Amino acid sequence: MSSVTRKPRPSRAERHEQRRADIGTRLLAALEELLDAGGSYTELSVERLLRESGVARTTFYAYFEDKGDLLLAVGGPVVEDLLVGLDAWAELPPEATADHLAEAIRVFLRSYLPHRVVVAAIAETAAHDPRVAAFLESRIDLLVSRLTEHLRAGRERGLVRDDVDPDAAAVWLAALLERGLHQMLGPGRTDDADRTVDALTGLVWNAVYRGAR
Amino acid sequence: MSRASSAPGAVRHRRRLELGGRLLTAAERLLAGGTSFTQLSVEELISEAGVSRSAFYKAFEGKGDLLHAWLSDVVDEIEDAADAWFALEAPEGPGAIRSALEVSVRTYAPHALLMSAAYESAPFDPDVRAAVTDMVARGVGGLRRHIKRGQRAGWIDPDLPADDVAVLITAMNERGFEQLRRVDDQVMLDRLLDAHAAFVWNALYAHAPARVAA
Repeated sequence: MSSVTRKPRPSRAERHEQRRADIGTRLLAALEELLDAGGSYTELSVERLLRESGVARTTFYAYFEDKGDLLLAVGGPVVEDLLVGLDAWAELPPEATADHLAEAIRVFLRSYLPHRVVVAAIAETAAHDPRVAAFLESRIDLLVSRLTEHLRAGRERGLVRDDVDPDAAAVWLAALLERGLHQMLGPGRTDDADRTVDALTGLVWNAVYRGAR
Repeated sequence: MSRASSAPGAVRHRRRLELGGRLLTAAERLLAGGTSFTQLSVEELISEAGVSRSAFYKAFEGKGDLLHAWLSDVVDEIEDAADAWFALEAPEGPGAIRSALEVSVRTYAPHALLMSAAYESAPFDPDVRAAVTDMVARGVGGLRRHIKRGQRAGWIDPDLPADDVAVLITAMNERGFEQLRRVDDQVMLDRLLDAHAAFVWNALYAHAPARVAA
């Protein structure tokens, strides 16, 4: 009996993945410490990162090819967090007001702020590392389809303006969130989200929702 | 002008202009072939351009310097194109916004490869990074003045915080127009440009007092 219910021993590959994720988390914490005040991920040396995190050089290279690979290891859960943070916004009810939108945006920014360093590092590295670029593109596609769905359902329910083209407008909204948050609240900038909530709400309420009913 | 041409740096400046043109054309050919600017070596670049190593280093400190010089020139052209939008007074509808922005899209298009190279190099090269930051800051400044003028005159929603909204819209455009270059479906491209004009129109102008009253 016990042999049937016993959890199968993780395979070598699974152990490697788990270890990669664990070390990635430690490195991520060090990274956030080092770059929260700003600075380039590209210019941050592996040595500095290892010193700050207490991870040995041989360990690092046993699990990661380089710093770009590290971002691939830690990026997945970060993006999942961000998408969960978008739920309140995506599920705004038809009778929602600008205040409801502001609150939903505030919730989203709360999930963005703790991750701003790694999000910025991914965007920066994507400009010169094709693996990270592919990762970023695929995650932006997820964001775009999430927003498209929201806009389409919103139009049907009278929440979203009739002149909003869901597929195309979602691309611009995603660009606004991705680049805009970096400019307003990225590493080295304020972490006081109030102004960003105001500006984003004003802009998006006017552009997408205002006058729909 | 005549004073500048007799200044000590003038010879170097002239050399930079002459060589720069040839080198950039060569760089664009190589980038179009799929090489990234970061991977591109000075050797490949000068051999493609038919420029000698010594001539290159007399005029430029490296390929980042070449890119930086190009960016400083092209920034004025891009700023002028953006004025097609920023100089608008009380635009009539999303069509006016789309036409104005197409001037920017057309100006940007021939420079797309080198512009990507600039974004790619910015993390490695402080001069290129500063030039990119400056270009974005000038775009934000132009849009902020446009928004404030419209708010005073009543054709832009006065409740929008002009400074932050200018930063956000510039960021959206920067990222969005970069992505447009990868869209090769003409119908989708058209929808994206319409959606952009509608977004900007509704965000800034559609709910302004002048329009609501009309």
